[in-house]
Amino acid sequence: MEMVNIHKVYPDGTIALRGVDLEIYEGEILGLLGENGAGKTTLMKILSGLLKPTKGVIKIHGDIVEFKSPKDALRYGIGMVHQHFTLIPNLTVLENIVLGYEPKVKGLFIDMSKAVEKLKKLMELTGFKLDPYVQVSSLPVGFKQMVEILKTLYKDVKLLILDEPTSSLTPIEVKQFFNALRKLKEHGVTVVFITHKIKEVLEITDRIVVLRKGRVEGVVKTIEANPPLLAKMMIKLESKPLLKTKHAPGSDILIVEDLWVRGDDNRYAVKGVSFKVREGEIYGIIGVEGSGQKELVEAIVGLRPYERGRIIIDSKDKLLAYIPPDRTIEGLVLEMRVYENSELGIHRFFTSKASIIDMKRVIEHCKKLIEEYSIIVPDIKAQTRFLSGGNQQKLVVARELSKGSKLIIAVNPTRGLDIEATNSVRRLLLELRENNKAVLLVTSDIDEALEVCDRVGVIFEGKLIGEELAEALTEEKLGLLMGGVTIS
Amino acid sequence: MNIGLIISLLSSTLRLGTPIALAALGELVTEKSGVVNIGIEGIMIIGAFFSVVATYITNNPVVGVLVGIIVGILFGALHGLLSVYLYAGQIITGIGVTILGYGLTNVGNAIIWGQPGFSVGVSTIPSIIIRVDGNVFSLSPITTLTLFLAILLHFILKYTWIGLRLKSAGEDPEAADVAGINVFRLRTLASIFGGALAGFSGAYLGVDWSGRFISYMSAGRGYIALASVIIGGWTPLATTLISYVFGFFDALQLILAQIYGRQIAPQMFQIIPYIVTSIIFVFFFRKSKPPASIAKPYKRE
Repeated sequence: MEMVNIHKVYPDGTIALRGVDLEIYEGEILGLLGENGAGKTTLMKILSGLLKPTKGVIKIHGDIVEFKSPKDALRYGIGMVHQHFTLIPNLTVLENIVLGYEPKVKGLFIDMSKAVEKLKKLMELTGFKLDPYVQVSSLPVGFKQMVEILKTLYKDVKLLILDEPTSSLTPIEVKQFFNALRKLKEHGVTVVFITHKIKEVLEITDRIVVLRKGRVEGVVKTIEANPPLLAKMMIKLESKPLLKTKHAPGSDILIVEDLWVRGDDNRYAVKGVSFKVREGEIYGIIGVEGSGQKELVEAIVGLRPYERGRIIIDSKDKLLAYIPPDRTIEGLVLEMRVYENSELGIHRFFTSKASIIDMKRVIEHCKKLIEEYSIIVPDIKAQTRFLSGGNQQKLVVARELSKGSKLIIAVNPTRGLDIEATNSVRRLLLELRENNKAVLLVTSDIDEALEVCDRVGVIFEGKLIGEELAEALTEEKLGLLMGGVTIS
Repeated sequence: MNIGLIISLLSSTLRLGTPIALAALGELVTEKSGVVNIGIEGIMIIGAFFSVVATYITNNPVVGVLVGIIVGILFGALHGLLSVYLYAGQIITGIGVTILGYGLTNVGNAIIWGQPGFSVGVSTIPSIIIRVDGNVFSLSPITTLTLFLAILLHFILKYTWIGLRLKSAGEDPEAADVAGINVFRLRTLASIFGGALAGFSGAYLGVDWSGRFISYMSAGRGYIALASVIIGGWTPLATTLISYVFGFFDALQLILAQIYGRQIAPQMFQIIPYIVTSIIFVFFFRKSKPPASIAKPYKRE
């Protein structure tokens, strides 16, 4: 399999690929490494038939092929698992897997027993264990990922493309997942593994291709690679380690006492959580997705009522700086223009007595934010959805920090961001700490918790099961705590 | 209450519920695919008009029904193409079709029969007559067909790949697209099916029930069908049942008007089905969960 001189220009003029050559050998696990926006996903969307290249060809065993749709690519045994799930929540696991490729009886009905048989074989092959008859909406994220992979394998895929498959998995799940990949390799399935995590490519792949700004930056065998080399190829500059200065915390700003909050299913999701965040301190709450952190934060910011307990915020802030977990749902209105988003929630500051928003001042404010936080924007009047994920996130962060509040609540502020953007957000958080602000950082990223926070509370099944100084924690210890294993 | 009244009520319920049920079943399929067509009211009236015209010319009500269905297919296709391929606002298109329907049929009626309001009488689809103790119970073949269709759709939606794909297109068109399903074609076909049944429903009004065209004879039944789909939770059997519940209240108001029409203005009774719709709707609306991507046009990239 070969891709030759692939170029891709999107209709809006963005150049994603500038002449990429790529070879994939049968039976290998190939790592495709690069920053967000390096063109990894675009390249693989072309290979899987979802996008058409502007220039360039795909060859299989030397013959030129052309894919008009993902179905064409599947005919050659090429299937892709996308970063965002393409599962339909209201259908069962089995229904999702057979969709579009239903085994038929009497022309009209679906041969479910045949489908189940095939699925069972695939589950054996991968080591994934799932109930085919449950609704996908009731599955945790890690299981959804399994369904997604089984769905692709169900179509007799020989080349499996995985786009950032581990981004929503816990460390334990990642291990299981890698085991499955190894088993697939034994059975002759070729895998392309797209990621920006250096650690993971080193662990699982045979060969690594590094992409940068739409070009191939280098190809290395995994045994010859090491983290600094790959990092250098990815971003072409030595990343400065974050500097965390000694800083004495001040008085309590946020006090949460014995808080009980119900989740959407009406059961308690938060069960008696207490903690304090002091000024000049970053307090981290870490836990596996679904441990109650979402409900906890929603209760603190006032999005969800709480049953018992107290939340005390000791500051004169009228506004709460809140960096929500999903910028596209709670953070931004993607259809609105950049400058409009820059004033969401603080529009009062730009409103005259006659209730008219002074757009000139809003635009000024937005320009200031763009400059201060180096947000890359095609046009200040463009719809916000045209910004890259990292820049959208920066816009949210910039807006929230412009409120000047004493307390900042950030939930997974670096999720889905590349190394550069991640570092700049983390640096901002540390700056806030220097400026004597109180930061509550809710995260599921162990590195982030250890690197940025002063103190870390681990949440497990709605309870804080451990609170430690970040210096006293190691990755392993934190990983165990997140899995509910308390250290005695 | 005497047996004659009960038979009369039952017979009327089936007669009056059928146009709602037919249109609702079509709309259900359309909505399952992710397209909403609030213009079925308009397609009904157009279907009614052209079925009467065709019967007037050929003197054959079966031809009338077929013409009604064909006209429904055309307008269903129009709505489908506009909303699927041109990403039109589906509510706007639907309102457009309804207004067009009222206008077109009123003008057409005046041109053909030279009088406003109603056409001359035409022959109708013969009903099956059953006599019970000298009381007449009449059943339209179209009613029988409607009930059969409800059961058929139940099985198609629940157990076949067509049902699965339809549901996937309405829940998450992108996921369906990635799975290799032609969402655009599927949605258009679903709109055409919905249009066909709305046209059929109109033809039933024209050449089965009344045997003539009357201005505004659809009388909001298209909208009631929309409500039936929602209250029926997008399932064919419940939707059909609800449609006949509305039919029952319509029948009830007719009988009440017959009995008490001298003492109380008949309009007081005529509002009953609409009030019932509103009340039921208020209570069931929140419990019912629509297809996740309903009324949202799907665009690639």
